[in-house]
Amino acid sequence: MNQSGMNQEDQLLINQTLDGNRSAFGELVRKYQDRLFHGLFNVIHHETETEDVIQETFVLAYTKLHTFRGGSQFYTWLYRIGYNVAVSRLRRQKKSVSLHESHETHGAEIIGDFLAPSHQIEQQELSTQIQNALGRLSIEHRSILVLREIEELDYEAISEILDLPIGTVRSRLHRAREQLREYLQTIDQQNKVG
Amino acid sequence: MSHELNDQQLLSAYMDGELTAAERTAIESRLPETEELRQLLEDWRNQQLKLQSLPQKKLNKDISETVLQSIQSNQNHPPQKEFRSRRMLVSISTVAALLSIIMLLNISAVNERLGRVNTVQKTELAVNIQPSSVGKDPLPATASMEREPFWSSNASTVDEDQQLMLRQRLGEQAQRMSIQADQNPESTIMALPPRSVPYPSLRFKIDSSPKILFVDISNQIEGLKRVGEILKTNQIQIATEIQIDPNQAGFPSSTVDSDQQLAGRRMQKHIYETESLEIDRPAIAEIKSAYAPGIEAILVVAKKSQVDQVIDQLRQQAKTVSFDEADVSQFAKDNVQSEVIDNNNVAVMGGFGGIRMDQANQSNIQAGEVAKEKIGEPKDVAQSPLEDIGGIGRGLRGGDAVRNAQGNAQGKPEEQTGRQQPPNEWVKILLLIKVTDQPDP
Repeated sequence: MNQSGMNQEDQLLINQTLDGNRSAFGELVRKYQDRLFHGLFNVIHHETETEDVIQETFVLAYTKLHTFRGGSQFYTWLYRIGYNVAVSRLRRQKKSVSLHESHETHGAEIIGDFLAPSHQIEQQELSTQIQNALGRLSIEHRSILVLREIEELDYEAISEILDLPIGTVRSRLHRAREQLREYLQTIDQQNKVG
Repeated sequence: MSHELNDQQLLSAYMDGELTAAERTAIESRLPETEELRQLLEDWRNQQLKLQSLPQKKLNKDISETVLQSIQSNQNHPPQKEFRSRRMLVSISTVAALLSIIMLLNISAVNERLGRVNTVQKTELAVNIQPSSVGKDPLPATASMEREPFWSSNASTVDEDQQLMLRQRLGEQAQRMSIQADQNPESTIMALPPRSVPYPSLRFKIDSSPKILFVDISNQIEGLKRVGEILKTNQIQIATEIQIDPNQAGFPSSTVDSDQQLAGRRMQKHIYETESLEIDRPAIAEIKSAYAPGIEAILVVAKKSQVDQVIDQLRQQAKTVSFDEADVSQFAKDNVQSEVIDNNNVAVMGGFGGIRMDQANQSNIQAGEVAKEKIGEPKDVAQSPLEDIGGIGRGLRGGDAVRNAQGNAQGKPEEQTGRQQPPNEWVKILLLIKVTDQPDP
């Protein structure tokens, strides 16, 4: 399995962008916009907000592109920028609306997007539950879970994105899993009572 | 940190394949004797599955134009121009500083040094305003900015591509060892018996008939997921699960990677002995005897492109298997719904893949460690922070499963496909084949 092709393609597009070819950067945007959107949406839990973050991320990435050293995957580097943008926005918003409240407010929108034919009702319920539980977590716990469980990054990459030592990644991930487990159990019990 | 908390942290990292060999041994010794830890691991795996089954969110539009317009309207300079400007600024200010210092020096020294400074200034500016120089090498060639080879002991990261390359290399070694292990019963790296490699979502306790022999020739993780749902819905018990390597069964597949082969080989061992799909009466008897005496049907999961071939082979070779088209048709109509794989399914598939391979992980690790001892570990691997990477340590990650499946779908090698939307053709078909012990007249 040779994955060097992908990397070379990114590097080529980066070089072309640095040479002043903006359309090459457009290619990078198209290539990663959906993946980045999916990853950050699970942290932000708000579609429009996530789209804004994505756009800001790409603009920032463009201006900082010359600092990309190629020591990591381009997406990891991009995600780190996006994560920082998202966290600063979320922290600003937290003053007026809690994340959980925000999620609840926009829950219908999120679920609406997930809706599909009737045979997927179970899946929708599952998605709603997990989204609710995720929404209750702190930004730190939610982010690390998304990076590990959804983005499937290893500890090294998570450490790089969150700027944390590996040991902290390990302990925080454990706490996040436990917290999520508790929330899911609570939701499950509430559903049974309801 | 309490002992209990320490165990839980180890367990969490164990689930991620991020432990050292010593830590792994420690937690594995605790698992059999601690029900609480086993339950915790199962809970975490279940919630991991739930997270990975979240629908794939995507932007329904191309934002590249908006981004480029924003860059344009905000007058964000192209990166290399910013770099050039900064370099020029640094050069000029450096020269200015030098000139200031020079003013403090005696006149003879000034005359002597001024010449040097002017030369430096001209050279610096000349270099910086050369378009070719700016374009070709925008990054300054300083020690801190140079790329280091990833096998360097100073390298701080091993990126995904490099991981995959190493994973492949080690996976191949592990696979060789695994095959040897399978062929040598005295080996210390005995293959796991098929029953000990369950798929969590297929582990149902419902005791009802018919018992089904589940055969997956698709090597498509999503197929397994769908089968699990269907069987659960219909309260059908899985008698056992068998995967057949499409390559071995004569089905073309360019994207079954070493991890998949490695994990699947243990489950396929029995099938190899019975020559894959050439299910004759002795083979059926053997399968029944080895796996589940009560098998009443065989459930085949195949890719759409494989179905005709499967049917032909079964009709020609499986003399004791009666194939009822009406049953298959009804079964498919009721249950399969010929689903098109969308992003949602891809997400599920990826997650399932991660868990599935995780189940087979331990034998991978064992095989890999023996391989490393015997074959020798390349320096780059030894010094990388990923001692237990990929094919050996972690099994196949969900993301890789997604790429592989998409590669299958598109008929391309997985490394070329990335996370693109799979085409509609990627549809799996389930065949329900009744098993009878009566030979054909």
